[in-house]
Amino acid sequence: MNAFTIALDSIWSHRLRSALTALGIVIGVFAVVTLTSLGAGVSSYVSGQFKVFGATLVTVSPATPGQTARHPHPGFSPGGNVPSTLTLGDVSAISALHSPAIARVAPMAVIPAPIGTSLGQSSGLSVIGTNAAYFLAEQMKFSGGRFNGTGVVLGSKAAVALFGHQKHLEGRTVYLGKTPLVVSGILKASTGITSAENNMVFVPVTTGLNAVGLKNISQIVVQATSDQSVNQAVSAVTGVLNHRHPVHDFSVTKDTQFLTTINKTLSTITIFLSGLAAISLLVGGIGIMNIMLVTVTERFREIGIRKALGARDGDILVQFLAESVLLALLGGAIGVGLSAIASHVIGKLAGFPAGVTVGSIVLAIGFSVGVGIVFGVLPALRASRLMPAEALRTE
Amino acid sequence: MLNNVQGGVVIDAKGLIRQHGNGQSAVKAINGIDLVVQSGEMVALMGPSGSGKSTLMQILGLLDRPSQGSYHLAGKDVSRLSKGESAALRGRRIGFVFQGIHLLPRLTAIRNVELPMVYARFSSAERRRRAEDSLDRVGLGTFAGRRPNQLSGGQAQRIAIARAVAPGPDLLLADEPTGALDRASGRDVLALFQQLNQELGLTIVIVTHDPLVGRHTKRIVELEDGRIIGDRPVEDRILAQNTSEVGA
Ligand SMILES: Nc1ncnc2c1ncn2[C@@H]1O[C@H](COP(=O)(O)OP(=O)(O)OP(=O)(O)O)[C@@H](O)[C@H]1O
Ligand SMILES: [Mg+2]
Repeated sequence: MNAFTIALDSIWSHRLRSALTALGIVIGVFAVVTLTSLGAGVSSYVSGQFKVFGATLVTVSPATPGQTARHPHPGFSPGGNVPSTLTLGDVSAISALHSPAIARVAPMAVIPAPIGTSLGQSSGLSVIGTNAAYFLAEQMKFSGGRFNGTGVVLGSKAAVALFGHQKHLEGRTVYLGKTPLVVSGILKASTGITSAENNMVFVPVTTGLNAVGLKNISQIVVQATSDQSVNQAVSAVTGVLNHRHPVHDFSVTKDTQFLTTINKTLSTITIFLSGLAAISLLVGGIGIMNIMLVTVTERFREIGIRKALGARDGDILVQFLAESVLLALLGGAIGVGLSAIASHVIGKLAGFPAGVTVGSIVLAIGFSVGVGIVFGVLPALRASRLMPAEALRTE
Repeated sequence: MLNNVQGGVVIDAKGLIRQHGNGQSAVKAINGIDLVVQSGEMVALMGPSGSGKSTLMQILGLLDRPSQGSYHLAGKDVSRLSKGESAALRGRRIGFVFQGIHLLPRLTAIRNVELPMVYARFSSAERRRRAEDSLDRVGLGTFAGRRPNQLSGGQAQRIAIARAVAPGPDLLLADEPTGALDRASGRDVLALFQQLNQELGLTIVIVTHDPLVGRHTKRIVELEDGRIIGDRPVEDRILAQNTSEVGA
């Protein structure tokens, strides 16, 4: 017989109306919780991917001189709009350091030339000029053959695009522009953030550069010997390159920095979208207020009876507030439930783990209760302030 | 409880005025009422429609406040109480029975009877005990689990009476309790009031249009245009009947 049982009873006695009222909150909470848990899922997935590399990779990219300091994350646009002045000489110079902090150095050159077979060219494939160290640094797995320094390595999708299948392609010929090259290895299919590899064709860097008459490479990938030696590797690389590039037209980025940037961007997007979703929660709250106001008018008589029987203003206030909070909580609970299902399904489809987090549940419940209180107060106050004589007169 | 104290004054009202609106549009629903009711009395309040009966009952029941005048309930000045204080008094000291069937439709009979004691913060055991006693007293002990829509009008009104007396009030107010009932069940309800008055010594004020109410009450107060125009004991039953018919 307390306020909550009265509220439950009232909600239950108007099932359809209660369900429709709660729907606004269901949608709002669903949207907020799903977006935040997807955001958290993506970001933990990205971090996980970077853990695979041990975060030991350092990337040297071209940069506009002087802007380096204010442009800390050029990793986003490898070989992008900044013209590169990096050369194979730089790669050799870094290797020649024999720094104990550096395990591997690999050039990476985007080769702007068509790739194809004797039957014709394939579109949608990118050609990368590199060396053997690159495959080790990026931890690429071969399903057959290897990179032998003269032959070509095909990504799994690139193999299918060129030959229709991925098996026993070693020894077949592909054409880089007009240059014939022999296939020496096929990569295993890659998932996740490195899945772009699947569409790549890897050629020896000198062969690639010669084919298109270029001198400059797009990036230099340096692998540190351990997580702890990353900073030492960065300063070693920076030291050599400062000598060779006095105008400082390059930048050195740790992959961990890249990760931080991704996470920052992701959380900004998540917060922004959740904010939008929260607006639907607001609309849901207004829906509750609307219905509760109607309920109060409809129940003048009930309020009058209760007051005539000795209910204080506070008793009535609590009764109606309990009803709106309960209604909002109900909507919130359903919203969280639906969101758990949706995040699970979306996560499965997109290939990353996304579950509803405890944090997002707490957030949603808090939000619902807040909405219930904020939008329930006005109707509840109105109900509680009703004069019993007035309330009883409306028959 | 005060209703057991013989000879005390339960209602002592002087110069009660209740005005609706201001200036030219002002309506005085009651206009200067003096009324004293002794403990253990049963009083019938009669009068034509619009004469101010309900208004007076609501003021006596602390559901409304007089614009002017004083009201002492069982010796306590209650004409200027706060909302919370009058709600508390209403719950414990006054039982109210309305014209329509004012039960809460979602609650069983016994829950309805318990309701005023919920608000008066009785313990749940005490509530249950009093509610059962009260239902037995109105002869509906076996109807405790029924909902209002499973009761006849007369039964529902008896439940409402059980609800009004369960907390042990000093004063029972009934505003046309038989208004929604047929003649026979109306008479039964009046008889029940009389029985409560005699057995419990409960002070009762009852508004009714039933010309035969004189069979059950010892005093009839007549209202017209917001004033008391007659207040007589019902020794002379014929006279009381005649007056009420002239007034109607
Ligand atoms: N809120 C109000 N505003 C204006 N006038 C009112 C209000 N309430 C009551 N009145 C007026 O006060 C007068 C007395 O009303 P009341 O309800 O007390 O009459 P009554 O004797 O109970 O009548 P009935 O026998 O029809 O129930 C009526 O003229 C009514 O119109
Ligand atoms: Mg009336």
